[in-house]
Amino acid sequence: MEDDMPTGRPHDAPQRPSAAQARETLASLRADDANLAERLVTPRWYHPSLGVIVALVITSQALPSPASLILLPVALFALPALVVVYRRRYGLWFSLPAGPRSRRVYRILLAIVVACFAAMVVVKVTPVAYGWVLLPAAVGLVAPMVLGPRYDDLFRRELTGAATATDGQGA
Amino acid sequence: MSADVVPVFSEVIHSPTRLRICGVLRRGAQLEFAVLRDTLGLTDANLSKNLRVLADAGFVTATKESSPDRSDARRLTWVELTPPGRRAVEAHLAALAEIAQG
Repeated sequence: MEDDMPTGRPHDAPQRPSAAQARETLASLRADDANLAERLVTPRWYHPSLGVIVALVITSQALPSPASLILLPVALFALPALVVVYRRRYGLWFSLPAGPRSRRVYRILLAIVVACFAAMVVVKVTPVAYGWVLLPAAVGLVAPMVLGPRYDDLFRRELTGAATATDGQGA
Repeated sequence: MSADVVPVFSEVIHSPTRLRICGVLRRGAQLEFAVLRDTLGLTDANLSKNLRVLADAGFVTATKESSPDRSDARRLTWVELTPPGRRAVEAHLAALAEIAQG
């Protein structure tokens, strides 16, 4: 006759938690998120560096060839280099927004940068004077410095409070 | 967590340590081994053991990277969830949320 009683051996399948245990588990995840949020440091140089890179790419790529090709490595390597420097310094990186508000700011910033690049293309392929590229370059310089800190702040808040979406209480 | 996540309880993830590891990684985080260890307050051995289980299940990847900041030959180890891992974590958290509601 088979024994249906749990043997208590370590390799047995874990029992499903009770409601109280599940709530406690979810609460512990929120505590871990709070610990992680404390490690999310944005150094003072990060957003200005990002803005400078964006502005440099815009101004350089609006130049006629071969100048734009010579400066292309700046565009190709500066941004990933910024990410690598940050990752190695702080040991972490997030590739996704933490919630709806940070996602909204992220999309706004992305839309602004894309619009600046589109303006760059217009300057490059039309008879518009090259000096006009300074306008989208200036926007590309400033946007990360203004929206970047806002994104970081919302990200940290949503990281510590995002678990409300995981404990059945809604976002 | 998206509204269309189907709750699925994962016995691999539900181990307390592995759930905590998956929890901090679930929002697209790439964490260096030491940061993950210190954030969760684990020992090297405990974290390594549980990462191996998650990696064997296809839920995390661990990528080695050389570091010019280290004087020894050791490299940095970056840990992140795989796409199946992220889906499994979301499904498991949905299952926990369902249980938590009683």
